[in-house]
Amino acid sequence: MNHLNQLATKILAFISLIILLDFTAGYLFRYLETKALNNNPQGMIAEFTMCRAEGDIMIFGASEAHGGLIPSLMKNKLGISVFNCSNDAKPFYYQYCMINTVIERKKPKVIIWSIYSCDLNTPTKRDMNSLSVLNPFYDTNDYCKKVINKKSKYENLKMVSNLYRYNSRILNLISNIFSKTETDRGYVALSNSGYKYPTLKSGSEDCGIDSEIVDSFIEIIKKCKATDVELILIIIPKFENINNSENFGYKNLIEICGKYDVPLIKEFYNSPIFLNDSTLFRDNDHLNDKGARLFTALLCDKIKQIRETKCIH
Amino acid sequence: MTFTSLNFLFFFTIVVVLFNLIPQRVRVWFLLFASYFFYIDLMPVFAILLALVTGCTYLFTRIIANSKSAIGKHRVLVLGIIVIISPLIFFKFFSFVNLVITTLLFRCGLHVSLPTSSYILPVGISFYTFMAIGYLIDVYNEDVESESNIGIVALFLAFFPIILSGPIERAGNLIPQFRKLQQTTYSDLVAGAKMVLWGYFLKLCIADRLGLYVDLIFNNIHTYNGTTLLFASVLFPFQLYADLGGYSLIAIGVARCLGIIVVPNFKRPFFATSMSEFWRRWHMSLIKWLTNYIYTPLSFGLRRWKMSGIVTALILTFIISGIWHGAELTFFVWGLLQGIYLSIEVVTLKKRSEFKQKFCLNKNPWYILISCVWVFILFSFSQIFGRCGSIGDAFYVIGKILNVLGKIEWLKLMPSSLGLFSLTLLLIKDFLDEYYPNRFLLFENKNIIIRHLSYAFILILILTMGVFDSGQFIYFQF
Amino acid sequence: MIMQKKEIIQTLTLIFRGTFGQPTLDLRDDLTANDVENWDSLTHMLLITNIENQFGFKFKLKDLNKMKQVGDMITLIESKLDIHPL
Repeated sequence: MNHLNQLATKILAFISLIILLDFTAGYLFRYLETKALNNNPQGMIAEFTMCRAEGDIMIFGASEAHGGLIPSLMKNKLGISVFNCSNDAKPFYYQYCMINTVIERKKPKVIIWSIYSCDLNTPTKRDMNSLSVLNPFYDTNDYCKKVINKKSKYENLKMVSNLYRYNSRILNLISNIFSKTETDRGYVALSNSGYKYPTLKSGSEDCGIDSEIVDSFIEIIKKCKATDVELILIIIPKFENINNSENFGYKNLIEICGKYDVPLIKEFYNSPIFLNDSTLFRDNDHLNDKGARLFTALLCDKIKQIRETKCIH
Repeated sequence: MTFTSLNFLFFFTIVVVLFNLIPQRVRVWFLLFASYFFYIDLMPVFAILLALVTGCTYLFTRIIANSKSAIGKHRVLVLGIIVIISPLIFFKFFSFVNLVITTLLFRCGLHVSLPTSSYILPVGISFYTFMAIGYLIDVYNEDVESESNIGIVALFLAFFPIILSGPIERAGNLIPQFRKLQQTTYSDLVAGAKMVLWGYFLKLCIADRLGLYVDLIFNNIHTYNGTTLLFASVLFPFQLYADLGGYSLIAIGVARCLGIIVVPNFKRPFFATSMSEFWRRWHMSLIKWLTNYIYTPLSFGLRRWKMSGIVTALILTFIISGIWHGAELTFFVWGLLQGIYLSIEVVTLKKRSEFKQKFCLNKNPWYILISCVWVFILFSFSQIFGRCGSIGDAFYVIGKILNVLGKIEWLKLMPSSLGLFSLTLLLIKDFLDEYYPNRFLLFENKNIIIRHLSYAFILILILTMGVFDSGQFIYFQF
Repeated sequence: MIMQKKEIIQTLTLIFRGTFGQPTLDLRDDLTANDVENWDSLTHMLLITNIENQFGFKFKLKDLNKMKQVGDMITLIESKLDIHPL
């Protein structure tokens, strides 16, 4: 029995030590996070979008939008301030949290959301893992909590640990305290240095849809309507000639946009303007700076057109 | 559930607690139940295969033990080996054999499509098959007695800590322990927990971290320059060590928490000063198995050829080991290389020994360092074949390493650099254990504060730097 | 010719020294592969062959597992040469 007591005391002491250390680590990490955000907001895109980003037009999307839409150019063309909140390789649920939070924090006039037909598909494990940047917001943001809980049934248990929340982040935080990323209000030009111009791929695509994602998608559309935020969906060109005639996800995307009367700018995707010129692309999935300039200009004309038509009606 | 899932931690805790609460006579059956539960959770259907292999093993060992005639025993042994190994061969080589037949027919102008197998390899089949064959041969050689309790035999083959990835145990070590399962002692529990903690550190903070980089580079060999490929090739053996070594350590630790001592699998391999020493420190349980059941009989049969007999047996053994890793030419070359390395060493053994004695090099630190680095280079070179998808790719990588120099992709290394930090810790620990044993102790320190702080430190590292919710264990596919 | 245990040990010592290239090696009953440099599973078979040639008999595969120490080896050689220790 004495043995058992001793064991229990040791275990208890060890657990208290861990809790204490975890608690301290939480403070330390939050301190580093604030410092990194102050020094290099563009290196902390998720935190910056959540807490600080502002613009009359706000752009959301993954890498294709990050290097595809140029805020300064848009401001010249449209006359209102623009911020590009895109974050590389981030899936639907990330955008879901960002858009919802931004609307509630600082309502923009327009939201431009870069989307592809496959974004409505069931998220892969990798997609879900990439949501870990949202972990620090688990307690304070209901949207983040909701999507993180979709990862597994144990997430609320895992989130008890501060260390786990900031898992894998330490280097990222430190490097952002000491370095600075220069961007054009969120836009990062992609150059072709080290890359050859891509060769045109062609094929057909067929993506499924995930009912939970579709529900969340519609939820955002309705929310924009209710709060009077103009939502514009865009499909950014890729250097691929894709046949979407059998694409279930694509058809659904169009159908939803039609049903809720949301503009979907898809004419530059699969358009000969882009498909005939490989020098506009860095690789098959991304526009380079030259391509981004062309696309942004074309998009602005289109947006003007949409806004004017809306005005008349 | 795999060892790195939260489910496993719950499962493991419950098993340890219940194991200690229930009466001794039902412990074997309880562990057997837990092991099958664990296996069924991963591979429901293939549990039947495991049970069948268990049944055959039990039957054949009993027949051998009770048979009077030597010829009869031998026949049963051969039959038993064939029966037990056939599922492994079927699952391992089905698609390979299929491909060979189709290609041959195609060459003859026949277009025949054979039924393809959509089966995946049943997890752990290699490990329990090897253990079953080892047990059978040991019974035949009268090294162990055949066990009459089928529950114990079944537990031996299905024991959940080691079924997925070894260590490959021998009946002579495990079965006597299963016969008298005691309550876990405090020291076993603590020793086991320490191994589990360190094992998770190796797996999550080193192997999976380095894996992010190594996978990226090796999956895009055409994109990256030779220097980057070289760097990835240097990291890969470390990743492998931390992966299999970490996983084995978790397995050994988990078993220890149940009071069962399982053989070690790695012993600071990168401090080996020769390839033959390296193979006595790397994946030891597999090498032991290959030595006992393939190399020894082969070289014994060929011993009249003297040195050439040993060389032939050696090369054949490693080729078999290579093909076991994968029915592909890359693994064949991998095995062949190991065989060649070791053959050269055994042939030059006396010369090297004389040379070392002449210049008193045995304790010379520079000589040791150079030997360790040399062994590492040889091993990493062979692992390029182990890592690449095809023989063409492997030669492409080697060619590029030799010809196309450039800058290392440091930016892509960022997520893995935490792994380099952890790897440094591991190498320091291995270094101290190797050359200054019992001098700098952390986990085993007499001072309780230092001890607890070092557990906490490793736990914190795991939580901050471990790769969670991620990929599969490399050795599952074998 | 009947060999004494002493003679066996002497002959065996020479075989060990020659096989492992250790000119100063002395045999003890409890000597194992761990204690002798260069004695591993690769060179073990050379040792076996040399013993067989020197003493003029053949081991069986089963015998190999029984030789964990030099002492076991001596006992086995004695039994093969059909002499019994006094």
